[in-house]
Amino acid sequence: MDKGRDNTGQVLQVLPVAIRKRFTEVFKDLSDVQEIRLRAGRPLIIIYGKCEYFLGINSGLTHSIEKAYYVSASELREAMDYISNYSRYAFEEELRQGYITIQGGHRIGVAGKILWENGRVKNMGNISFMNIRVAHQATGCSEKIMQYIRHGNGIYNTLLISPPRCGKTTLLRDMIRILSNGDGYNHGFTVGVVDERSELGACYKGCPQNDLGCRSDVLDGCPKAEGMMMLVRSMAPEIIAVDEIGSNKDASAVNYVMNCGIHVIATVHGLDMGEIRNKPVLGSLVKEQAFKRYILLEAGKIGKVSHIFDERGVVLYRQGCIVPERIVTDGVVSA
Amino acid sequence: MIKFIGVLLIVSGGMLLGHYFAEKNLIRIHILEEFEQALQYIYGEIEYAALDIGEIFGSLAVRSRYCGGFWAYMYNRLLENNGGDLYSIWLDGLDNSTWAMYLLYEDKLFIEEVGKNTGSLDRQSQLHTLEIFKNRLEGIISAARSEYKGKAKVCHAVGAAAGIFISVLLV
Repeated sequence: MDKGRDNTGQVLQVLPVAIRKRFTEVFKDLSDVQEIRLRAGRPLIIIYGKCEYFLGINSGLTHSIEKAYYVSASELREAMDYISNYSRYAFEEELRQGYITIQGGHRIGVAGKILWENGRVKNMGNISFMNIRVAHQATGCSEKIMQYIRHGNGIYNTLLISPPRCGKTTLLRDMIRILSNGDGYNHGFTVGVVDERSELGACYKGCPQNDLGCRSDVLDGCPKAEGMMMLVRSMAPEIIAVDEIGSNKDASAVNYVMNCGIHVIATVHGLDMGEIRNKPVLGSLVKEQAFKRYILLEAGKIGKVSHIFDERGVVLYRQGCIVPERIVTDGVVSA
Repeated sequence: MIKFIGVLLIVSGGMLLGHYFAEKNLIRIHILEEFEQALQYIYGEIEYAALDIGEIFGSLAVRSRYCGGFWAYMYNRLLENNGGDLYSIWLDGLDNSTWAMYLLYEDKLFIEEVGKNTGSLDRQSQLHTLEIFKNRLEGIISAARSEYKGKAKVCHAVGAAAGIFISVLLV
């Protein structure tokens, strides 16, 4: 598994000039930087490797808050100008959701004064907190599980289950890439991706910044249910991939897509199979055996697959146990 | 004969000078009309495509006859992300624009004001502000048009008269 291409240069471009200068003195590139946190009147914090540092006032990184570089409110305004390309009006929807994706797929979370109207966030002003999350694509992380979802010339309808921050979106992204590009087992599939929160493709001006393969069509920023219907009608996909399904509308759309003969790969928040079965909306899909494979990620560990089940709940893979390849053929457990 | 040629040249020069000032007024109207079209274009791109302002300036750079250089300058400077807000870059762009010499002081103030109120507003306010600017500019252009014919006549007449006057003085 590699970290993918280095596209961290775009992060520097959105930093205020004074901070950018310091960064270029400290870092050759930002490939090991995870996060950069800017807060008005507070020290600039960098998550580098797995450690937290302050940017030093005299350049370099430091653990001492006394020697830290403090970010001013005007620098945050400057950064906001760069992030929004001097066009606040063009990022209203993103600001409502609290983040903006920039070129390179990097995500910038913002916080400030919320303008609340008619029970919803109307806009955000006085942005005083910023979290720049540097995108690192984990290419190849799903290679080992692909054998469990392949089925003849197609794939099984698959549901990825995990608690938040365990890597299900990363895993789904890599599965999309492999399925779309094709590998030694399958020709490439036409994959339709509904990317409601721009997490899979991290689209910038409509172009995916993450590698989703050469046969993927991405509907960016589109509600999941509507997006799935649109893709079926417009792009003739063989597989539809969607992140974090959960509502009634999502479940109906998944059903509709499956009835059209299109395979679905989806993710959902959850701890285990029991929890998914008891969810009012998804539970019915599980009982109807709509999904043929369930990939469960281990809580608290990023990217670790703990179990893979089939539609009847038979364990096909358990972490630590080597399950022989081709133990399951066409849904029938042979061993 | 030489005197006659000299008189002819001076009178022609006066008339050309008068024509230049009349043309300057006409070019001012053309520039304002082009700027009005630019405002309409910006309005449309924001309303229907929500394009960012740099992209819009980039398109305007290709479409404009008089102000193309200004829009290209804006587009390039915004791409650089090298400090300064949009208004200060806009002012720099205006300072570097040759077409600005055809404008009146009030026109320049108006264009500066457009720059001050572009980019930093939310969508609804941005569109509303552009609408107000469009209406104001329409008023400025129609006033300039109605004054133009009279002004052009005066410029031509004053130019010719000045030429004749200087010739008489010299002869």
